[in-house]
Amino acid sequence: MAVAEPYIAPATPPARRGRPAILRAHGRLDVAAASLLVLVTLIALLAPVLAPHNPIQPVGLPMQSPGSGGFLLGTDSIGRDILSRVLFGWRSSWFAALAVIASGLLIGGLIGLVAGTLGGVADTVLMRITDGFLALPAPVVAIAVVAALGGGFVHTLIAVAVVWWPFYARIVRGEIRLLAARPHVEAARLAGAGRLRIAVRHLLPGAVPAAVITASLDVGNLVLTLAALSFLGLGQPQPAPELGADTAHNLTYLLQQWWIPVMPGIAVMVLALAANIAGDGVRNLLGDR
Amino acid sequence: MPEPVEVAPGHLSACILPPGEVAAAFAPAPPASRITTLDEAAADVPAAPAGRPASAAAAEPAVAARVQDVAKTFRVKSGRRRVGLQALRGVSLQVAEGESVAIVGESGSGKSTMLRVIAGLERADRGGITLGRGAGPQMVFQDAGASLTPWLTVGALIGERLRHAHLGAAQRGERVEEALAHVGLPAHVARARATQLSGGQRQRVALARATVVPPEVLLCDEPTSALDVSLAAVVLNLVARLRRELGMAVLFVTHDLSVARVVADRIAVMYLGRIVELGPAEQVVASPQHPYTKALVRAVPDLGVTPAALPGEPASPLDPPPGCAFNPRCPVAEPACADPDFLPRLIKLRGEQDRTVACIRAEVN
Repeated sequence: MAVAEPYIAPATPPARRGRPAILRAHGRLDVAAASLLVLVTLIALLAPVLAPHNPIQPVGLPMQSPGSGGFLLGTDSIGRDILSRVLFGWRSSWFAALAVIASGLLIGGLIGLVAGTLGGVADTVLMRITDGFLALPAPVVAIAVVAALGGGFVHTLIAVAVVWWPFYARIVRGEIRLLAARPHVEAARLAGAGRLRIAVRHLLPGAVPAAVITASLDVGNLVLTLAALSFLGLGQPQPAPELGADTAHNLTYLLQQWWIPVMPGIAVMVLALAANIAGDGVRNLLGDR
Repeated sequence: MPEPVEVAPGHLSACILPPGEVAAAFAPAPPASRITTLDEAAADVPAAPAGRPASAAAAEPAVAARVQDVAKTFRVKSGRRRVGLQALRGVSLQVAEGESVAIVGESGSGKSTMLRVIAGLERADRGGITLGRGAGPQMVFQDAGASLTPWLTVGALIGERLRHAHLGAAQRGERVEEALAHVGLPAHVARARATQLSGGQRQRVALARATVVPPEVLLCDEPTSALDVSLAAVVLNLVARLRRELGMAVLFVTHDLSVARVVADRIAVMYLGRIVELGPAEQVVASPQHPYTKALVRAVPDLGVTPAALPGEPASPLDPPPGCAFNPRCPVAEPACADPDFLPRLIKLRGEQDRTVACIRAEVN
C-alpha cells in the first residue's frame, strides 16, 4: 500500500505575467540606480548642446568665481567657462572609460572563460600570459604605444586597454573555476550539453555579476589613470577639456581660486560615484534571476 | 491550536481528537520502517507502460547496465604526498532492464563513484561498462538544488535534453509540461528558477529533467538524504512510479538500508570499493550473510531496538587492509582473512538463488 503523497504547496508563480521583470516592485531602486547609466551617458552625448560656451576659447574674464558674470561654475585662469569644460571633459572621460572597460570585458572575459573552462595546461599558459600583461605599468605601455603609433588620444586608449583586460581575465577565470566545480555543470554534461554550450550557458552567466561590479568600480580608476597620462602629456593634448588634467594642472589655484581645480575634481567624483551606484543596481537586477 | 493534553502519564499530544480515534484513523498504516515496496505499489495501480513495452516480462530480461570488474583510483594529496585513493577495487554488477538495484554502504565505500563511472562522469581505470541500447543513463544528484543551473529556468533546463529531438518550441514546451506533470508539478514551474523552489520541488524538477527522455537506467545518488522523512517518502514513491511507468532500470545509492529495501529489487552491499553481498532486497535485510551486512542491519535504528554501532572505523581507501578489507572490524575474522593473498570473491550461497556473498566463511561452506 502506498502512503498518500503529503501535500506540497504549489510553487509560487514566478514573476507576475504581463509586467516585465524589470518593473517588479522590489527592483525599483535598482532600476533607478541602473538608469543612472543612461543619465550619465545622456549628459555626455548632449554636452555640445548643454555647454553654454566654447570650452577651448576664453569667453570671459579669468578667474571669475562661480555664479559671477553669468558663469555658473566660474572661469579658469585664462577665462574659459568651467561648466563647458566640465561638460566636454565629462563626455570624453565617460566614453574613454566605457571604451576601455568594454574592451577589457570582451578580451578579458573571453580569455578568462576559455582558461576557466578548459583548465589544465591551457589555463596555466593563458593565465601566465595574463600575469605578464598585469605586470606592465600603464604609463610605460602608453609611452611605447605612442612612440610606435604616434600620439593621440585613441592610441592612449589602446595602451590603457592593453594593460586593463588582465584584471577582467583573472576575475572571470576565477568565477568560472568556482562554478565549474559545481554539480550543475556535471548535470548539464549528462543532459547532453557540449563544451561550448556549457561554457556559454552554464558557466558564463555566473561570472557576469562579478565582472559588472569590477567594471563599475573601475570607472573612477580609469578616469584617474587617464588624467595621470594626460598629465604626462600622453592623454588629451592641451587645451582639450579633460577632467583629470584640468584638476591636476590647476591645483596651484586651490587656495585662492578653489573652483578652478575643484569643479572638474567634483565631476570626476560624481562620475565614479554614479558608475558605482549604477553598477550595484545592474548587479542586483542580474542577481535577481 | 489544540492544547497538548496528557494521553498517558508524561506523554502529551496536541490533537483535538481523543487518542482512540487517532489510533483508529491510522490503523491500516504500514509498519514504521516501510513506505511501500515496488511490488505492492505495482499491485495498487494497474501498470501503464508509457515509454516502452515491459520487456521485463520476457524470459530473459535484457541488460540495462553491466559493470565488469571496474576499478578506479583517484590521485589525492595527503599532506605533501600524492597518494592513491582506491574508490573502486574490482566491482561487477549487472542491472536488468526495468530492474531496481540499491547500492548500500558507509561513506567512502565507493558507491557514488560507481554511479559516476556508469554515468560517464569518471573514467574507470580498469574494467568495462556496458549499457543497453536505450537512451543513455541519467543521474539524480543528492543536492538537487546544486545540480540545477541557478540562472536558467526550469523549462530551459528540462528543454535542454530535448535539443536533439528536432521539436518546435511549442512541442518542446508541451514535452516539458508533460514531464513536470509526471512528477506532480504544475506547468508554471517551467518559468521558475531553481532558487525559487523548495527542496522537494527541486528534487522533482531534477527527476523531470532526468526522465523527460526516459533513460535506460536512472542513477540516483542519495536523492533523499537531504530531505525530511515525508518529502523523502514522496521522492521514493515518485521514483518507483516513474520507473514503473517509463520502464526504466534504477540504480539507487543510499546509506540507508530501510530505504534500500523499499526501493530495490536487489541490494548490493559495498565495502571499500567491493561488493561484499548481493541478493534480493528482502532476503538481504531479513537474513544478512556477510558479517558487514549483519552489522549494518543491526545498526539501523528501528523503533524499540537500540541500534548497535559498527565496531571500529571504516577502513581507509588510502591504505586498504590486506585480504578482506573488513577483517579489522569483523567479529568473526580468522587469521586467514588478513592474508594479503586472500581476495574474497562473491560466491553463490548454497540453496539460494541469486544470493552471493564475499566472505571466507562462505568459501569454506
